[in-house]
Amino acid sequence: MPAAVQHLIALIIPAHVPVKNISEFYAGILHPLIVPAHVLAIIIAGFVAARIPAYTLSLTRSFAGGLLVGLCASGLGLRVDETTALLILMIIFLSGVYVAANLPHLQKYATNISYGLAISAGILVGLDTVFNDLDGAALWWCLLGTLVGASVMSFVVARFARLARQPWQHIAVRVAASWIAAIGLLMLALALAG
Amino acid sequence: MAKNAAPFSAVWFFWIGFLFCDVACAHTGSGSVNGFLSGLAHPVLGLDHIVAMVAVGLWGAWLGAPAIWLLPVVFPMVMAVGGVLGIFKVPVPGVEILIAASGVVLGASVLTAFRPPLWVAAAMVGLFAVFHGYAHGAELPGAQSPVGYCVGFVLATGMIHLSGIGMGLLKRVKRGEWMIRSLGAGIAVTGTLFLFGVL
Repeated sequence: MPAAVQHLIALIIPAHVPVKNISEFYAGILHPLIVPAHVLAIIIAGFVAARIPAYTLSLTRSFAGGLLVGLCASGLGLRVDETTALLILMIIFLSGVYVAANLPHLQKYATNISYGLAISAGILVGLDTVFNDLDGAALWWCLLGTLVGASVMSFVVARFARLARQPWQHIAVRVAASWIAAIGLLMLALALAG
Repeated sequence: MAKNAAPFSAVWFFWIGFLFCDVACAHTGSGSVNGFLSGLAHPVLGLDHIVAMVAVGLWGAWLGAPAIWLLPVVFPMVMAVGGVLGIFKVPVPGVEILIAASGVVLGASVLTAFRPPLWVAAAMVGLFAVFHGYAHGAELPGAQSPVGYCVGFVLATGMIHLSGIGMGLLKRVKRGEWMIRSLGAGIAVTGTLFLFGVL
């Protein structure tokens, strides 16, 4: 378990724990926030979901569904190598370019591309969420917390992005997506450069 | 609209304060914070970078839609490509000269109110972005927290573009065109001084 998660658990354990394993659940909620790649993946998944207003809710559910699959695989002991982290960064970059470029000739395929990116991001973030030092109920409470935290965060970002009404607000979302794409590409290069 | 302005500003003020409260209060010196701050500071403290990036925002605002948003979208993405070249130490000749030249060319474009086709403007900005990105990228692997550095310098670059766009909105006021062209002249002169090694 990353030291930061242990620190989080230590911070939020109250003197009298009202519900067993609730501190693991809270730590799971906060886990995506302390991994930069996960934060970026969740935000950009929200932007991708907001790109097609009619499908926003469905796309955020798809992200959550993918996340559930990934987290279950992680909880059942499926361990993947560092390729997962690279794939997350690649999805961040591709999703950022997709939202920022908003290419008109991709409109025909926009629904399929959006579902593909949202589900892939969910699965990869789930697979990359590993709590090595936990097992049994504590592990599953942590994973459940991550499912709730990441899904809610993605939903909030998508709803926020969908509030855009003015042209400049749509542009602001695309500019933010271009920044995320740039950060994702640089992080990918750094990871590959070792 | 005016009713919404104050709460909106207050919310953003809160979040900006929230982001920096740990840095301000705890002065922990942790790697990611230092990496983020040094990434944030790099474009801001390098005058050669800042004048070119302000010029991109100014020129975009001068050209109007869609250049006003296209150029600041193109710059960070292409800059990241330059950053990748820098990270992998791919030899790119004349980086410092072309960074200085970017100030000259972009400043002169604002000064002369140059209005090329959109693709030409995007290509010019994209070309210079590669060299700015290369300079940042070459420093990345040595940073205390490379990820924090990435996030910091991309955000700083974007904010400088926005400030340039904000200055470009001066064209709506009386004598605004004159002020914008003066800023362009200042940027071109600064770039020239860098080009000849005076600065």
